[in-house]
Amino acid sequence: MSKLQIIDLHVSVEGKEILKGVNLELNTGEFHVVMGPNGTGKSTLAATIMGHYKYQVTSGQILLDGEDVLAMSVDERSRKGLFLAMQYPSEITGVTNSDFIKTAMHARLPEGETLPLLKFIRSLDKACEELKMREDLPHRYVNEGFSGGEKKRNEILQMKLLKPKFAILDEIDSGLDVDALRIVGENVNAMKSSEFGSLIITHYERLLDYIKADYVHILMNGVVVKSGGLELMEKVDKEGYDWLKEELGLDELDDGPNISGNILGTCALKESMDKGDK
Amino acid sequence: MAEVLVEKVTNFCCNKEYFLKENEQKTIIVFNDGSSACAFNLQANLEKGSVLNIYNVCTTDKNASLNETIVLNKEDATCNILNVLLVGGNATLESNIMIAHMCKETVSDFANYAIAVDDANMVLNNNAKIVKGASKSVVRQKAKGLTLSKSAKIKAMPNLYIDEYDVIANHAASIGSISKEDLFYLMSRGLDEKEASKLIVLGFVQPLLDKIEDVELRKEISEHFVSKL
Repeated sequence: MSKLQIIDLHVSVEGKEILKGVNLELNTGEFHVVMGPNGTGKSTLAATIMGHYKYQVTSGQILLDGEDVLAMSVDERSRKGLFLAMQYPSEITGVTNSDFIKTAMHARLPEGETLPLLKFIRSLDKACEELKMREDLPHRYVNEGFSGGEKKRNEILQMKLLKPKFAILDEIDSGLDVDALRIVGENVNAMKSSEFGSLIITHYERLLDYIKADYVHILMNGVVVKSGGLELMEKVDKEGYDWLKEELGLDELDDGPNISGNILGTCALKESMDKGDK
Repeated sequence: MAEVLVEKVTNFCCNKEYFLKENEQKTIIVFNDGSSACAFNLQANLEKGSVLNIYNVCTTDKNASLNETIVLNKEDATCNILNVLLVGGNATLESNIMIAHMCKETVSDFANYAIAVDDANMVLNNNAKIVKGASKSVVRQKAKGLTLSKSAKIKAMPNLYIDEYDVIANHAASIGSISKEDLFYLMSRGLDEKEASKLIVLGFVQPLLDKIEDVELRKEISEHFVSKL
């Protein structure tokens, strides 16, 4: 059993504060969903946990089984058991998927140990089959020429083989058709165990038809404003976020220290600015 | 099946001339392993329906130049060039390539993968000419450059000289250091920075290695790149 804790996390990009005190706690065996309007910091949270160079943590902590994640390099975080399935994964010319995954699997073995080739090939073939990927996909260059759906499946393929403790899935459902969504959802779901937990960032309820989530958190303007169960997600899916803004009085708190109500995605921003003008 | 010729460039100056007959196919692998400063000059003339593939491979820390002129004389003549070049030390490597489309329905595809390290300079002078009347011809030019130190320089000049309207012609060039985003992606899977960088750089060479069937030559070229990086 492992634990990932995000404590009062403040994050800035180019001097602008995006996350304004996020608190979350995940255990393996749990799937947490983070939802929220555009531009409220969901992807920032995902990238910061993995250590993306663009995001500066100004205060707060991220702990993995009590260890300070923020003090670790990106590769260390991965080897310690964190994984980020990216919204827009890079294309790496000249590096085949299988070579890349093999190198990544090898990187997490104890020094002096090697990865048995036959075992690797078998596990790669099995994972490809489970994700219903094209047979030649492992032998193509990483993400080069992949469709949007293939890229997302490729992220899940890596996740399956690298076996992290916690996977952060950043809008893994975007760009997927119904069949691909089901395949990805089922594969993520199948990994749920006392050794694996996930933080799932999504806009839509439909992914959750296949992934059995335990907790739902709403992120607005850089803070988690509400947490609950699946009923919360259903309500957002039916009614959007307006009821929550109303309930929390976000529109009235323009200059509040944590919740200004002015950065709730493009449309919300326009709406709130219009209201402000009146 | 294309005939494969390997030209190992070791002399101070090397001149080669090729004439491809109708429907003839030929692959020329030009390999400069950097053992001496040298100039390689190549001239090729292609007749109807012939196909010429040229793979220019160079790993050098001595001044060198690559000067090639390919003339597509008759219709359906095709030339594919793949340059994979690495220059180091304080050397300058110049690649001057001209592909002339002299007849309708001729095709050229020209890709450059260039790596500069240390204080080295590289100049990619890529030229394609389509004369008037060479309609329905196709030209593709691509250059990707990687500078692995602050003082290494790559200059790309992708030039298209076109005197005919009914053609397809495109060119693209990008030069820079290793993409931080790519590095982040590989590191997020557990590879340390050194290993991730190596994988990205060797990825530049792989499209060439994929094309070389001779196992020994492929190994030799691969080892040369690994030793210079």
